[in-house]
Amino acid sequence: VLMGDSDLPPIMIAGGSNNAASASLVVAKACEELRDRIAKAAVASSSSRFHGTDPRSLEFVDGKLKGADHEEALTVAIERAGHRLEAYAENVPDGLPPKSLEEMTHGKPAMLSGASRKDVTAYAFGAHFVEVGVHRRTREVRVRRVVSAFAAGTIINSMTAHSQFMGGAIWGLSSALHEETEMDRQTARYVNTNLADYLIPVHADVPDIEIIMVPEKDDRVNRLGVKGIGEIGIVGMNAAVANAVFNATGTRIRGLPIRPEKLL
Amino acid sequence: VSQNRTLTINGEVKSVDAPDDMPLLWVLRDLLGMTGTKFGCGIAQCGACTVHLDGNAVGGRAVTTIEAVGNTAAGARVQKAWLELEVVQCGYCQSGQIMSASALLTMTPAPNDTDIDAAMAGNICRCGTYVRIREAIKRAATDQDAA
Repeated sequence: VLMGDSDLPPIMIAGGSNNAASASLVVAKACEELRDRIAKAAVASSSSRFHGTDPRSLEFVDGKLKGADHEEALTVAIERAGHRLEAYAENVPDGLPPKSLEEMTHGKPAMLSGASRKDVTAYAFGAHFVEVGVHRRTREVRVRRVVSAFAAGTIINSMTAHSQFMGGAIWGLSSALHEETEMDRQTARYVNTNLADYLIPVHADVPDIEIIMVPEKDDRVNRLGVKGIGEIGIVGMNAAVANAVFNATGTRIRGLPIRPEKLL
Repeated sequence: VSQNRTLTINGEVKSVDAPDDMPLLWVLRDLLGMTGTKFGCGIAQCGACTVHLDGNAVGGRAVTTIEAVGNTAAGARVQKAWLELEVVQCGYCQSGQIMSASALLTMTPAPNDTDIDAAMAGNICRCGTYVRIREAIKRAATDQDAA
């Protein structure tokens, strides 16, 4: 897989949690075309054991082309289909105008949001559960436990998706309790624009975090049921932490981060 | 003032022409082209530049960097566990995390959460890989198969 070269075709920007759905749908189209070509070549060739069978009955499993009573290495099947295969695919999702692709090549990417379509809404869903301890004297807030659950359609890679959700949860904890860009009002400059001065959590600030990936099959969002998960891991965490702090102290904090001085 | 000096880095003797006040990170990255060790904050607050220093070496200090930590028993186990759990997200801090984790396991073969949090306190991660780092360190500690 090649990425990140301007000689390659344009792809959506990395933002708005849209990359998984954008890339996977068009990659699927290209793969399906290659699969069709390989299967058609396999049934057309008189020297092939698949000769004369229905190309739609052939499956691609574990690097093999598989029929009802025969299988062969995909390398053999690709050779038969022309040795070197290339496919070009485009995909404009439902809800975007057909000229979206052309506009993307001119630097004007159109983005579909969860509410863009008339017929369905297409959001991912999540919820956070947080347990905090607030120190009786110093009012320092420590997060003891986090459980976060997400339903986000088809998960393409469960290991990296799990990490993305967890990273989002930790960013949420961080913005709830630690992070703030500090402005020097005399000079109108931010004063903590580096990793030494900007406060982010260390190992000891991050408790065990349980991520639950709730299975969700959504055939209407797109044909692969893929939703974006880039950002949802962080959404709602500030509220969950603030609610836990309220539950512990009786104080409603409405400004982030929730640092000890706000609870004194 | 620039001065020619000798350093032992990953078991190899290197000769560098470096000013007196040049930090080791600059020597590694800019003079020797060893870019596995990362520049993060520049004042030892984030841990991206962590390397191992063996004060016992004769004739100068012996430095071990991320490029060679896999040659040590603890380093090899740590790298294996890191890959198995796919700890890394963006990866920028991970050289430092792996160096600190390897040093921890060399000193403390079976660390608990408190040991890990204390030993890893100087390594921050912007992606939030902390939970997997703890898990990977424990896996590396109990891994009997690794070299």
